[in-house]
Amino acid sequence: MSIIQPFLDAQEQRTRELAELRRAGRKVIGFFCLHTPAVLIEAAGGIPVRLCLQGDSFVQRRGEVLGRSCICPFIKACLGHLEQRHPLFAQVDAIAAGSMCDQIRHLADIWRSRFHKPAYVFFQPRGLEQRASGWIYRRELRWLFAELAAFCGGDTKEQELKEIIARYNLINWYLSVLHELRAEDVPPITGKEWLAVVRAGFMLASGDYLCLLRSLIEDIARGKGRCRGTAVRIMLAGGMLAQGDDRLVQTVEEGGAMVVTDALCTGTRVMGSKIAVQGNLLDNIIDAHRGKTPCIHARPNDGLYAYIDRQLKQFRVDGVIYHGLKFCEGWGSEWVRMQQFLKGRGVPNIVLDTDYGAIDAGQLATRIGAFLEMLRAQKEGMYDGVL
Amino acid sequence: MLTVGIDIGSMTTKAVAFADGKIRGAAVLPTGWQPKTAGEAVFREVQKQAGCPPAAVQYVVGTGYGRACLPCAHEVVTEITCHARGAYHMIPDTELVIDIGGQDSKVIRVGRRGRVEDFVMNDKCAAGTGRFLDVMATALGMDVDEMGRRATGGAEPAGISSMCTVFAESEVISLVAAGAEKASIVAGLHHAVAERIAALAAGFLPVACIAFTGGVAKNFGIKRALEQILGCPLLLPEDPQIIGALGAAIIGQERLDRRRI
Repeated sequence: MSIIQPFLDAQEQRTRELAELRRAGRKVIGFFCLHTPAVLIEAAGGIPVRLCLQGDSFVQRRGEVLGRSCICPFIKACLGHLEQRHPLFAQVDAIAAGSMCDQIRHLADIWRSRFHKPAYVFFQPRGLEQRASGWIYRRELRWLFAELAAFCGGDTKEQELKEIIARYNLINWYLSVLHELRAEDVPPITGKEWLAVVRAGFMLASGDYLCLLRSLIEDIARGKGRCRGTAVRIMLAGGMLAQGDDRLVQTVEEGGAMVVTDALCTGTRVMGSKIAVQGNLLDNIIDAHRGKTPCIHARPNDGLYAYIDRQLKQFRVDGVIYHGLKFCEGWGSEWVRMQQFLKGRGVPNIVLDTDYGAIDAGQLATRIGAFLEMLRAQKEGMYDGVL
Repeated sequence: MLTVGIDIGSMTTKAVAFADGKIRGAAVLPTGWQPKTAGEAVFREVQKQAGCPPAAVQYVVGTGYGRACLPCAHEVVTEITCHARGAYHMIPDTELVIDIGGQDSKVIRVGRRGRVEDFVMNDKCAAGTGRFLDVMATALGMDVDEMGRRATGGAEPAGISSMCTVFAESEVISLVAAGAEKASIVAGLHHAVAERIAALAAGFLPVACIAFTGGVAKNFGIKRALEQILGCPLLLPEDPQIIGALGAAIIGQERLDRRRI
C-alpha cells in the first residue's frame, strides 16, 4: 500500500462529508486558483474546496456547450462538470474567483448566469510594483471576506481565527518539510505522490489534512516509504496539473526518472509564508497571501523566476519540463522568457502542451522518453557511442 | 556480433542488421494494422539477408511509435536518439538531423559521437509529415512517389495557406477545380511542408552540416524546397528511410561493447 493511501481514502469520503455539513447549514465555497486564500474562506465561516479536476473527452464536450472549444481544457472541464452535476461540484454553494486569469473570470460569469449561484470575483492587481496594488489587494480581500462572512453566516471570534491561522501555518510547515525531503538522493515520495498529497489539501477539512500530513511525516521518519533513488532529477514548471491529470508525471517516473520538485499552480507553489498571529489578523492573512510566489500573469513576475532558480539548485535538477495547457495564454506566452532563463543557466528543458485527451499519448511518450535519454546520456554516458 | 534495430513507424516498419561496423541487411515493409507482425516480418527478412540463424542475433533494439509491441526487443529507445546515432554513423560531420517520418517531424541537434543535445518535434497534428503528403497525393489522384517525381520540373508553387491536413486537402481540391496545374500544386505543398520544418529548425541554425532522414527525405521536392528556405544543402544518407533502425542497431552494438568492457 502506498504511503499516501490515507490521503486518497479521505478524499473519497469528502463529498459525502460535505453533503452532511451542508445539511447542517454550512456553506461550501469553491475556488480554482492558488491565489485565492482558503484560510480567508474558512475564517469567514465557509468550507473552502479548490475545484481542480480534469475532465475526459465527454466532459470536455459538455463544457463546450457552455463555453467554446478554444478555451483551456481545465475551464472546459469545470464547465463540463458543472453541466453534468459532478457530485463534488454539486456541493458547492458559491465560488470565489480572482481576476488574475481571464478564463476563470469568464467561468465565474457562466456560473452566476447559468447556475444562479453567487460568484464572488475579487480584483487582483497584476502590476505588483504599482504603489496602489497592495492597498487594492487588501481592499478586495477584505471585501471578499465580508461578502463570504455574510453569505456563510460566519461570526468567527478572534480566538477561533487564531486557531485557524495556526492550523494553516502548520499545514504550510509540514508541506515544506515533506517537500524538502525530496532533495535527498532517495526521496521519500515520488513526484506523483507529492502531487496527490497537495491536491488532497484542496478538498479535505484543514484539521483532517493537518493530521494526515503529520502522520505522513512521522511514517517517513520511521523509515516508511523510501522510494528508489534516481539518476535523473526532473522539475516540472507550469500551470495546472489537475486531479487525474497524471500522464506527464507518470510518463517521467515510469521512464526511470523522478520529479523532485515543481513550480506548478497545483504543486509546491501552494506553499506560502507564515501568517503572523499578532495585530490585525485579517490583514496578516491578506499580506501573507500577497507574498506568495507571484503568478505568471503578474508583472513583474521575477519572484517566480527567483523561486525556480532556488528550486533548481536545492533539488539538483537535471532538466525542466515546462508544461502548459492548450489555450492557456499565460503559461503559453511565458515560454519564451522561461526558455531564455533556463538556457542562461545551462538547464536542459523541453516544452509540452497538453490537454486531457489521449490522442497525443504516443508523441508525449516519445518526447519525454527522448528528453530523459538525452539527460541520462549527459549524466551517465548512456547512448554515448563507444563505436 | 550481430545486432538488429527495428523501427516501427506509423506508415512503414524498417529493420537493419548490423555487424562489424557494416549494414548486413535492411528491410522496409508497410506497417499496416499490425505493427507487431510487421516488426517480426522485417526481423526475419534482415536475418535472412545477413545469412544467420535467429540465435546469432545478440541484441535487438526497438524504436519508433510501435517500439513497445516488439517481444523480441531487448531494449526500446526513442526514434530521436536512434536517428541522431544513425545519421552520425552515415555522415560523421552531422550537426543537425531533420527527420520527417509518417506522423512526426523532428529536428535534432547532434553532438559528440551522435549524442542528442537538443530536439524539437512537431505538434500532435499531422501537418508537415509523411501522412500530410499521403493525404494530399490522394487528393491529387497520384501516389507519393509520383508527387516526388513531379517536383523535378521546377513549376511555380501554388499558394497553400493552411497546414492543417483537413483544410489543406480542401484547398488542394479547390485549386484543382480552379484549373491549377498539378505540378504547381505539388510544388506549393512541398513548399508549405518545408516552411513548417524550417520554422522548427530555426532555433538551431546556423550549422555547417544538416542530414535529412526519414521516408520523406526521399522526396526530391521537399529536399529542394527545404534547401531553398534554409539556404544550405541537406546531406542525404544512402537510404534515409532506414536511419532510425540503423541507429537502433548501433545502440545495440554499444550495449554489447559495454558488456565486454
